[in-house]
Amino acid sequence: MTRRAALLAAVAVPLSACSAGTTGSEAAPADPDRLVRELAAEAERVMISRYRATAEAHPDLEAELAAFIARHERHLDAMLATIAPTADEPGTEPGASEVTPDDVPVSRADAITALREAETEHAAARIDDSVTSYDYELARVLASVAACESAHEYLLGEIA
Amino acid sequence: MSALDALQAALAGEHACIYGYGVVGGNLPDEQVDAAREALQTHRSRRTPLAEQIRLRNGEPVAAFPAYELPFPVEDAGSARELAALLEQRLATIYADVVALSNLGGVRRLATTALAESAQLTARWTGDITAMPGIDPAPQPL
Repeated sequence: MTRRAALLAAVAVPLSACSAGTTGSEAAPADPDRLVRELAAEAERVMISRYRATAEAHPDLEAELAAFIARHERHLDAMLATIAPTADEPGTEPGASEVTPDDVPVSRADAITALREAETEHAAARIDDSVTSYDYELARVLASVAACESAHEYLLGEIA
Repeated sequence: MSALDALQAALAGEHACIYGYGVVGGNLPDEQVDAAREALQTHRSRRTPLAEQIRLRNGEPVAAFPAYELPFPVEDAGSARELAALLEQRLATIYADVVALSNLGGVRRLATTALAESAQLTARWTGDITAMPGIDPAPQPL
């Protein structure tokens, strides 16, 4: 099966590189998608904080944004699920780049536009990540997340 | 399933969508017909790149059927939108398979973009979207 062969090939090179460069003690197989997984998870955290900050700054949007936040929380869970549980390092912890209500535009329409722009940017980044992922299932998850965010961009336009 | 199988499924799905949007467009109010026409154009434009990828893998691109049996009667705007959404959701699942079965950047980009467009169209026809389009269960196949 091509998939298995490709995955084995992906771990073979880093493993041999490790044994040549280190003491040869047990090294975890390198994950070439590690950075993509962590950055995507971090991007979801920032997105959730952006929605929460927007709902706080514009309480009249709170009810409508709840479903968007719930979907982003599922994206975050999906990204965290692809990060190996043993790889519990600082990279998987919440980052500092949270959005606060002070960052949200005062005008309701501008606040929605800011969310739309963030979704568009996000979707494009996840598509790029999906195209370059080594892990095929990660590619599927990233493509699905990007698809939901493209739909969000449309749905936010209906609110405005 | 191989990448070739997934690409063939996507092309077969596009053929079905093109037929379906013909029916959909005929049942929508004037102000929504343009959206259906745009969607139809999107689906038409995907046939050539899919067929190219299929030929690259020594496959013979599947042909369209002369007609398709609709899953339910389409006779008003509501059922037309429902059919369009069903087609898009089915297609999203197929493109998610193409993503997960192809290791070439170009094919993956084609499939991820198509998946995103399908999700956006699903949102347009239903006013809603699931968190994981193409992965969350889609309505039953036609």
